[in-house]
Amino acid sequence: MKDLNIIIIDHKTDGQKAKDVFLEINSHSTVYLADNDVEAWSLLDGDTKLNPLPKIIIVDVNKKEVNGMVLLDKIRNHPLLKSLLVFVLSDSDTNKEEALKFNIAGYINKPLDTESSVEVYSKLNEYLSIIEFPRDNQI
Amino acid sequence: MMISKLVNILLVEDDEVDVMNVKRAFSKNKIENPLYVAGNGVEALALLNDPDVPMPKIIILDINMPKMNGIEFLRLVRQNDKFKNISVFVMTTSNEDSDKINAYDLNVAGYILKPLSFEKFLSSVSTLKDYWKLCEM
Repeated sequence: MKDLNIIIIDHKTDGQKAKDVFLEINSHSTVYLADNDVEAWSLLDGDTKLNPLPKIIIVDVNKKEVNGMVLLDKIRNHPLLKSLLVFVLSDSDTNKEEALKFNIAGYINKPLDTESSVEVYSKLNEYLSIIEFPRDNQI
Repeated sequence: MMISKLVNILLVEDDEVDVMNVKRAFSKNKIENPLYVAGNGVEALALLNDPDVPMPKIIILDINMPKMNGIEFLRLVRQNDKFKNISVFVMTTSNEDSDKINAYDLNVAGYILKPLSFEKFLSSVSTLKDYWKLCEM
């Protein structure tokens, strides 16, 4: 199993559920949680900046409290963060067209039950296991 | 949600053996999307600009190619409003950090090293297919 470093940005229970399922599938990974764009930004470029920085972001851009589209815009306009791999997981297509304009890696329907969650995150994990990233200190 | 129409895929690859391997792997994985092939970045840009060629939704991109390499091509694609949001998956033998950094700076959806064996390549393509289905591409 590949050692992945991920931030999930989603409202409380959804984010925690996603983290729990992902770690069941891939216990070698490190998964950080943020409730919204402000918390996420603190982890990416603020007071609680992570080191090493995760290269993978999973965000729901359709939860009002999350402000995912604001976050996407900031990430893509930041010289050091613009290259991060971003996946949108959402149960709505409201902002899909806008999100795709930020060159996200994928827009995935958020699973509604545990069985579907396992399937979705397993496939995502498999995909992440075949792609390469630069070494940590190279970005 | 079922995909009602198969999206077009553009393969940008100069090595004929690798092109054949992609076609074989697509066939074995029952990937039936229309596949267009360009031998380098110049040919790929011509295909993208050809009004008779349907716009691809996915580009599979090699890096080391003559005339115009993959990174140069991708830089031009990302500057063009018509093509800049196409999903790009790099498939290359280059394990150089500089190429990976350049590719992710241009927001590729993934960077895949070409496996040495066809069986491993088949498996990678199978994973890609599952991922495309997940994203309803």
